[in-house]
Amino acid sequence: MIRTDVVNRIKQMIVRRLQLKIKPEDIRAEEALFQGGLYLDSVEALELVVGLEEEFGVTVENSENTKKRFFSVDTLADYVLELLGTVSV
Amino acid sequence: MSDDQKMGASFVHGLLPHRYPMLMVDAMKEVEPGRRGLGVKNVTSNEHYLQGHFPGEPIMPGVMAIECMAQVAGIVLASGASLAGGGATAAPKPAYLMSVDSFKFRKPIRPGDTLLVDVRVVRQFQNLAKVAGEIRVGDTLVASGELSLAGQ
Repeated sequence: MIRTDVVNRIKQMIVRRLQLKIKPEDIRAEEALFQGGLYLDSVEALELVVGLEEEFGVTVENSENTKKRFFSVDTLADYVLELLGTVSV
Repeated sequence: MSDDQKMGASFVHGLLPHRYPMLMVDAMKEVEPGRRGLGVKNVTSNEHYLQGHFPGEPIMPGVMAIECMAQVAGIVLASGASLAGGGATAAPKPAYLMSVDSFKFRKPIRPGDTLLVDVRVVRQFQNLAKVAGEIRVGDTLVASGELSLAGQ
C-alpha cells in the first residue's frame, strides 16, 4: 500500500466519521490531532480506533505508544503501515 | 426460567449503582460479559416521569429510553469487568455516558410496554467503550442508536 493513499484515506475517514465541517485536504498530515491542532477529544479518539479498524482491517492495540501513534495523520499512517506489515515508502 | 431468575433484580443491583427513581433495568435475559446483553424494562404507569410527560397521554421520554440503553450497556461492560465497576464482589461503580449518536425514536413507548434492550459493544479502548443498541417492544423496533461510555 502506498503511503500517500493511506494518508488520504485516514483524512477522509476522520472527516467522515467525526462529521467535521472541513475538507479532508484541510487536515495537514503533520498537525496534532488532539491538543494544539484539531483538538479532538477522547470519545473522538475511540471513533478513530473504530474507523482505522474498519478502513484498513487492522486491530489497533492499546499500548504505551498509543499517544505517539495517535499524534497526527502522519504517525497514524506509519502505524497502519506497520500493522499491515508494509514498508513505508 | 432459571436463567432469568439468576439475572433478575439482585443481579442488576450487583452491577449497577443506580437505584430508585433512576434504575431502569428490571432484569437481564442474556449477557455475554463485555460483549453483548439483552435487558428488560417493564414500563408502568407508576414511572415518576410519566406524571408530567404528558398529563393524560403518558409517553416515555426519549432521553429515558437512552438512559435505559446506557444502563444495559453499563451492565454488559461491568460484567466484562474491564470497564466500570468491580464485578459483583465490589460496590458497583457508574459508567459515565460520554456521547449519544444516531438515535432514532420510531414508536412512542407507553405504560404496559416491555422494553427489550439489545446492546452490543462495538469497541472498547482504554477506559472508553462504544456500543450500538436497539430497543424493541415485541418484534417492533421502537428506538436505536449508539452510545459511548467511560469507566473510572
